[in-house]
Amino acid sequence: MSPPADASQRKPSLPRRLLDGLYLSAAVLAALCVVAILLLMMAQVIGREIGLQVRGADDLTAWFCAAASFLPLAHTFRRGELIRVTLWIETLGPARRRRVELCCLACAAIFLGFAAFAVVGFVVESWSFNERAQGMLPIPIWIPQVSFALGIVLLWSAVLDDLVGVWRGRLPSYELAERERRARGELGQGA
Amino acid sequence: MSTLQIALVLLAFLACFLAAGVWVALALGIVAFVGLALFTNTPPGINLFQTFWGSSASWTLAALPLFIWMGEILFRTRLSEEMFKGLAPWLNWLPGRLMHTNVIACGIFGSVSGSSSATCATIAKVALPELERRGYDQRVAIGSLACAATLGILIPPSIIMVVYAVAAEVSIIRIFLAGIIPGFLVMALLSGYIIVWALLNPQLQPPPEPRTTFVEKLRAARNLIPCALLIVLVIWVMIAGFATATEAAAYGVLGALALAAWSKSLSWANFGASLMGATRLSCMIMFILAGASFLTVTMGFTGIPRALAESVAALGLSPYALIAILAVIYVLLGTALDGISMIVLTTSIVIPMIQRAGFDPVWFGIFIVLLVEIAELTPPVGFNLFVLQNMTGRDSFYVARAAIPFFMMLVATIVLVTVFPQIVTFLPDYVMGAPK
Amino acid sequence: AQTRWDLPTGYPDSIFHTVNLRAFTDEVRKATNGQLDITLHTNAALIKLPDITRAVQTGQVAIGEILLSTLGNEDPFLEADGIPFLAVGFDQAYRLYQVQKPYVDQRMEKRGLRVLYSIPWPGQNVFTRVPWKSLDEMKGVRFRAYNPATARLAELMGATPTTVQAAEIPQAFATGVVAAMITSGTTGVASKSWEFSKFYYRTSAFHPRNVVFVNERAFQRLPKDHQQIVLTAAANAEKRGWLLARETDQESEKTMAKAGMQILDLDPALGKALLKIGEQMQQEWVKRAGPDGEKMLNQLRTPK
Ligand code: NA
Ligand code: NA
Repeated sequence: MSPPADASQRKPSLPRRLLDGLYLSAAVLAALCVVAILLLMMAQVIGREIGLQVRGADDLTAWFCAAASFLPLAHTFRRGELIRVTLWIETLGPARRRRVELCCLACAAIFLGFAAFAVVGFVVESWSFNERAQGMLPIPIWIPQVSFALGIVLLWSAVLDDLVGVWRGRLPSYELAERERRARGELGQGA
Repeated sequence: MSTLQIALVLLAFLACFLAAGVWVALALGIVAFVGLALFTNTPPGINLFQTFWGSSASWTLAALPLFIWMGEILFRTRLSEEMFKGLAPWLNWLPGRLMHTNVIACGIFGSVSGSSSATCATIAKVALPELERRGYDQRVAIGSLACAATLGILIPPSIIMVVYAVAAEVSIIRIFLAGIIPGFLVMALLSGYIIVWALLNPQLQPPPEPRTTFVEKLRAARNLIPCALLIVLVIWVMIAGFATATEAAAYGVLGALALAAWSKSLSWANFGASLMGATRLSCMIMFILAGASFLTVTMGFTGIPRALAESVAALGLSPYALIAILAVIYVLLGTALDGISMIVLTTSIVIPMIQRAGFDPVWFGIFIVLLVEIAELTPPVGFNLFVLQNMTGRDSFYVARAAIPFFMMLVATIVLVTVFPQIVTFLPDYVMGAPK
Repeated sequence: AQTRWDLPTGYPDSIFHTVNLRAFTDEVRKATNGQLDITLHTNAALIKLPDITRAVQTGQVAIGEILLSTLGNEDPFLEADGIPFLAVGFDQAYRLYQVQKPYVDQRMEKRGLRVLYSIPWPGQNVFTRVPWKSLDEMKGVRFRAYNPATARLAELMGATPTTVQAAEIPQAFATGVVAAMITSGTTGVASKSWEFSKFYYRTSAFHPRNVVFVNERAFQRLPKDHQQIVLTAAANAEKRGWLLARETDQESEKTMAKAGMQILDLDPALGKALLKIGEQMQQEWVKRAGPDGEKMLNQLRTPK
């Protein structure tokens, strides 16, 4: 799925394949959530016509929407599709660029570390307070919020993953992925 | 530190992080986090949790992945190609030719979708590859698209208008109606610029399509039928009361899937690729939106937008000077905030102000929507720029530069609706009677 | 030293609850010579309505306003003011409030919250597109429901409970996605109900209440004289708010009538039928709300 993280064409190591598999499965789960949104909206439309209320369809839709936005973060990050401004970075030579990349990744890793602890902490709190959703579906609110915690932790892991890689002298995954997209002609010639 | 100094420090922070290449959503998050930690006494952690969750677990936002998915499906069928084939002979006489499809398609799609990002992503996926393949100038294609996609929020339905209508307590129906004529005006100005540009730069035009007879044109127009059917379906389910504006997105996806199946371009591989593509793109947009709403909360706690608006209120300006200053302030806020945040953070102070100055709140709603459209195009934080960066691989600043001439057309629209407010108020007053 | 509190609310500026809140914060600011400065954040700009309770609990903000019955999923007892026909009209709603108050205060105390005051919304009335004379005419009609209680009410009336987000109501009415809803006249005016519905039936089915509460720790950190000022201002706000609610209700009826809506009383037979539905809903609620619910209901029914 993802390009080899190393410049040499070795077969990716087991941990590499495991991590990539993990990121990808979360993204696939998110895609299924998008399908679920589609089905829920149709169910609501049809239900109305035949006089049946799909209880809490709007709450479910919102939760699936959250899951669809958080779960694919790590995968999207490694594919180079989380947006950043590259205007300045692209003017740098390889050595300086690597140092700047390391800075960016470090900033991201520190912030996501805080975020991951905060998010996991609050989801656990929701669970221990037994906090319930306020709409039509009175389920414990930690259940939908798990997608948030999971998505952020996975993104954190993906950033650390690349931080270590770039530190060891490899090219970042998102950079490789973007080059590949360009080579396949999916993107323009670049600015 | 004064509120304005805090604002400058935060903006400088944001600019540094963004310029260094930190991912946009994370840069917004970092600045918001630091701002809360340094300048307020509310714990940043829980604010981060609630804003990211609250912004993403949103029923209104759920239409976004669906519309983007619809675009991804259409992109993988021959439909977009066929649509261009059908349109090409009809637009041959017009300077700029198929370049106008960007404007027309955004206008049409804008009447289906309520968001500018969804409009941008859908039309970009369908139109940009076709225009590139036919040798149209990329820069103008991207610039016109970035700007035309903002029609998604000016032509009803519109999420931004709903937010404004609730915050300012004006009639949603009235404000929807008010957006229609300005929407056509923006389309006319954008197309007008394309015509002028095409006349001035004949060397940048692709070779003309072969001349065709009227009968051939009609035959080519058959290619338009599937797309027209799809659009009619989505608009019809809304008007006939089968679906709300958000649910119409689901019909859009089903319709696109049906068309793809009918044109035999639907395979499991295509289905999966379109779904994964849509998931990643909407993930990117929604994560930035979440970061922006975190920054919004920092702004709310530090009171920056309120201080700005209050300092304007204290000036005691004449009506036109007030509007001019407000425009400048919203443009400034729009560099770093998203449209919804701009509205909810400022209306409590701004609405009484403009009512005192004698402006119609419905008119002001359209004025704000036009400024939000501008915000979608101004770096560093402009959502249409991000969408196009993701889809074309060109940096958001490149997209912003390409959009400048079209951006000026939006500015011209703002000037026009300010000088001639009837452009806005005529239709709602005509349909619903003058406001009481 | 100066203390700064942030007060998030989910409602827009011109709703009377917000007007009243602003008067409350102004009074506190003035009485403490600006030493306690409460900044009001309207329109859910700071924190969304469902998150405000937790935000005050965790100290994210010091003080907040919510619609009490939204906590009903966590603690059905707190739904009482959202149960249709349990207390019809302002006078009964006030009585319900008095009976309910000690229970609510105690429950909020457990969360580390001190209730400052509570103001009702005007009575919940029914908006329709077509005349409504008997229960039969509600059969199969798409009725907008926004929480479990209103969904159950619609069901018992024979209508089809339908989910439509508040922002989409005008469009939903105009296109026939829904044909009836229950809400207060205030909300009707705010959303310009005459543009999409014609008839307004006075049911006064219930008066859900907003409560304003403060984080107990933040409150205890205030100097004693400031605590007293906050409590006095809250008592004033409560008095003012109940009056405002009544006034607003009359004004909104006038506004709607002037805009061409028909303001009607229920047909007596229909009114009786609805009260019967209300009784069933009360019984269902008592089962959920447990012993406290039963105790409170008995207190409510014994005349003073
Ligand atoms: Na639109
Ligand atoms: Na911007």
